[in-house]
Amino acid sequence: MRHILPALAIALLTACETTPITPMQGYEDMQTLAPEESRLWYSAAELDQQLQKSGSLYKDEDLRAYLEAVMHKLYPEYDGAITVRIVDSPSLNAFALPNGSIYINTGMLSRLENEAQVATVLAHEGVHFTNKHSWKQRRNVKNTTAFSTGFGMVIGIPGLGDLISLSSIYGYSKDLEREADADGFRRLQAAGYDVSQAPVTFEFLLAEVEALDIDEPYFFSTHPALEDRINNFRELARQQASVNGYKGAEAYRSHVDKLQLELLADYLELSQQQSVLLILERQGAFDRYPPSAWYYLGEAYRLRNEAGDTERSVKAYQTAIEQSPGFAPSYRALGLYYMKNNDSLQAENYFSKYLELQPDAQDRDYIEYYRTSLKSGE
Amino acid sequence: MKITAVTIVLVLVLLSGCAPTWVKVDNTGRNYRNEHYSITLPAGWMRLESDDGLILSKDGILLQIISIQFRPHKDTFEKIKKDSSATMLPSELAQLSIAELKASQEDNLPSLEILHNAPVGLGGRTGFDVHLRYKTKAGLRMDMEMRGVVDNSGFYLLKYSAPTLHYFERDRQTYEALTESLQL
Amino acid sequence: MSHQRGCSLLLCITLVLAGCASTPSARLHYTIKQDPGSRPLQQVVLLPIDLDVYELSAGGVREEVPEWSSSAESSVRNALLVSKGTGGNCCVTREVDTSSLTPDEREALDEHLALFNTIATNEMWASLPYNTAWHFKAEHFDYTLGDGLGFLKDKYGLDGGLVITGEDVVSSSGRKTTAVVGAVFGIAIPLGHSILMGGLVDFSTGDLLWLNYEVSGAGEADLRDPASCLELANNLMKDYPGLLSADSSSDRTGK
Repeated sequence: MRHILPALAIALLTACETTPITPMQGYEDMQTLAPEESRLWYSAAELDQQLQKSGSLYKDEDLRAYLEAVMHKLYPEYDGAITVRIVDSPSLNAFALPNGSIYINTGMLSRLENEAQVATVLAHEGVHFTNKHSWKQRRNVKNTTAFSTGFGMVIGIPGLGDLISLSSIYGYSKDLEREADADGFRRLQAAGYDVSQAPVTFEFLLAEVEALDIDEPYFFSTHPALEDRINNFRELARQQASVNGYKGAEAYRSHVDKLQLELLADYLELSQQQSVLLILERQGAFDRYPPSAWYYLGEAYRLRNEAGDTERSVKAYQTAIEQSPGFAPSYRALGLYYMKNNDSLQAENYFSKYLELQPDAQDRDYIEYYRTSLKSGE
Repeated sequence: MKITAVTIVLVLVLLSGCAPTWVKVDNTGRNYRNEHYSITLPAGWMRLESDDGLILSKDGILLQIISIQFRPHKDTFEKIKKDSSATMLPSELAQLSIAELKASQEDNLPSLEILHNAPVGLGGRTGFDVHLRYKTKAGLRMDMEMRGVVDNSGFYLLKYSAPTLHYFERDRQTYEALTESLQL
Repeated sequence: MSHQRGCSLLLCITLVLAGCASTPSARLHYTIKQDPGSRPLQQVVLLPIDLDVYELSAGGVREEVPEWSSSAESSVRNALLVSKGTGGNCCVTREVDTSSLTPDEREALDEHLALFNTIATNEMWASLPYNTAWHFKAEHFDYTLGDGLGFLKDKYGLDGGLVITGEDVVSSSGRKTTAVVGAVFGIAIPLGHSILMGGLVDFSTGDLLWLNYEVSGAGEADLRDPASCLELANNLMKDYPGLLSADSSSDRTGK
C-alpha cells in the first residue's frame, strides 16, 4: 500500500487541468476562450435555450431592459454583452452562467425595494461571470477523485442542470463568494449607487429565510457565515459611505409593480401563505402595494388558519372592498366565508357581485354550483 | 440528460432485485374493492397495487398512467403541508391539489396551464375536475386530468396523465368511465 | 438537443452496468411480423441526428465536447447514408433539411422526436428482466407517435423517417488512471459507454415500425472515430427492415 499511494498522488497530479484561469477585463475577452472554457459556454448556451423553451422565463421586456441597463451601469466595459433574464419562480434565487447569462427570479425581484438593492445582486452575480468562478468551481470538482461506485456515480454525474447548481444551489466556495461580494461592492460604488443598501439587501433576505425556515436552494443558502457577510458589507458601507448615492426606489417600483401582485398570487397558488404574510405584514408594505393586496393578505390568513385568522381574513377582504371596490376576488372570498358560516343571503349577495364584476371568471362553474346549493338548502 | 424520478425508482427496483408485480385486468378481475372504495377497472389494462394506491396503464407508465389514491385527512398534501377535511369545498380541494402538483416538481412547473377546472359528480358527492397541461424539459407536452373528492374518511384522488400527442385523448374516455364507477 | 433523449439511454446504461444479459433485440411492428410486405415505404429520410459525446473526468464529472458531438453526428450520418453502397445495411439516402421547415413544423418535429424518446424509454422499461408482466409489449410491438408527422409526407413526399440518437461517454486519461487505482482497491469505476438507438417511423400513421439499440462498454467503440461509427451504425441497422420498395435516389436533401 505504501508504494501505491505515492503513485496515486503522482497519477492525480498529472491528471489535473492546469491552464491558469484569469479574470476577464472586458468584452474583448469574451471573444477568445480556452478549450475547457468553451465547453462550459456551450453547455451554458444549451441551458439558455432550454430555459427559453421550457416556459420558465418571465415575459416582461420592459423589466428585462431595465435590469440590463442596470447591469450595463455596473459593467460598462462589457458593452451590454452580459444579459439579464428573469425566471418566473417565487423562490429567492439568482445565478450567473459561465457565458454571461445572468438570471434572477421574480421571487427575488419582488422582495427588493429599490434599484440599489437589485444592483447589489446583479453586481455580485456579474463577478461570478467576469472572474470565471463557474470554471474554477467546475475544475475543482472535476479534479477531485471520488471513489463512488457503480450506478451512484452514473446518477451523480453533473449535467446541464448543475450549471445552475454550481452557482446557486450549492453556491460557490466561501473564498469565491467573498470575492464576488468585495468586487461587486466596488462595482456598486463605481456606478454611483447608495452602498448602504448592500447590507440591507442581505439583511431582509436573511430574515425571510429564517422566518420561512427555507430548505430549498436560494441565493445565499450555503453560507452559514451569512451574518458574517452582512457584517462585512456593513463595515464596507461604513468605510465607503457614498454621498448622494443613488437608490432609485421609484424607478424600481414602477418596473416591478405588476410583478409584485403576480408574485402574491403565485405564492398563494403554491400555498406559500407565509411568504405573503412576511411581505404584506412588513411595515410600509401597503405604501408599495395597491389596495387590492388586502385580498391576498386575507387569503394568506385563511390558508394559515391559526387562531384568529378567520377574523383577520374577513377584515382584510372588507378592507380590500372598501379601498378597491372593483377588485372582484374579494367578493368571492367573502361569499365563500358566508357560505361556510351558513349565511345564505350574504353569500348570494357576494357571489352575485363577484360574477357581475367578473362574468368570465375561470371558477364560474364552482360559484354557480355553490349558489345552486345555497338555494336548494344543501 | 434529464433523469426523471420514475427512472430512478425503476432502476432502484431493478438493482434491488425486488420487482413490482403487475397484473393484467381480465373480465373477472374488473371489480376492485378495498376498505375505502370500490371501482371498476378497465379490462385489458395492467394494474399495480402499492401502499400508495392503484396504478393502471395500457402501454406503459411513460405513455399513460392512471392512479387512484386515498389519503386520510391528516398530512394529505405532503409537499405544501396541508390537511384536507370532510367539509372542504371542491374549489378549495382543486386549488390544493394543483398546489401540491406544482410543489412536487423542482421548478414548480412554470409551463403549467389550467384547461378546465369545474365541479364534478364523483363517488356520489361533488368533487373537482381539473384538466391541465405542461411541458417537460424535453419539450414534450403532457396532459393530466385530476378528479378528487372528500368524505369523512379522507381524500380520494384519481389522476390520468399521458403525452398530449395522440395518447391523452385516446384513453380519456376509459379514465372518465373509471371515475364514474367510483363508489365510496 | 441532449435533453430530448430522456431516460432511454440511462436505462441502456443500467442494463449494461447491471450485467443484464444482452440489450434487447430489435423490435418490429407486429403488422410487419405478421406480413412483411404490408408496410411498404417508398421514401425514408434521416431525421435530425441527436448524438452527444462527453468526456468523463477523473472525479466523475461529464462534460459535453461539442466538437466531438458534431464530428460523431457527421460520422454516423455518413455511415448511414453511404452504407448501402459499401455493403452496409442501411437504405436511407436522404436527410431532412430542417432549414426548409417552418418554425411550427420544426416545433412539431422536435416534439415528435421527444415522444419517440419517451416511447423508446417505455419500451426499455417494459423489457426490463423483472418486468415479465410487460414483456407482451415486445411481442405485440404496436407503438405509435400519432399522425402529427403527416406534414412531412404531404409537403415533401416522404413516407417515413429514421430517428437516430445516442451518446458516447469517453474517459479522460485521469479517469482511466482513477479506474486503475480503484481496481487495486477492488472498486469498480465506470469508464464510459457508447450507445446508438434507431427507430423507423411511418409518417402516415406515426407507427414505430422498427426500434433497435446498440450498446458498447468502455473502449469497445468510440464515436469520435469514423470507422467505429460505421461499425456501430452497421450493427444497429443489421435488423433494419429497410425500404420494402427501395429507392436508390442519390438526392440527399429533403427539400
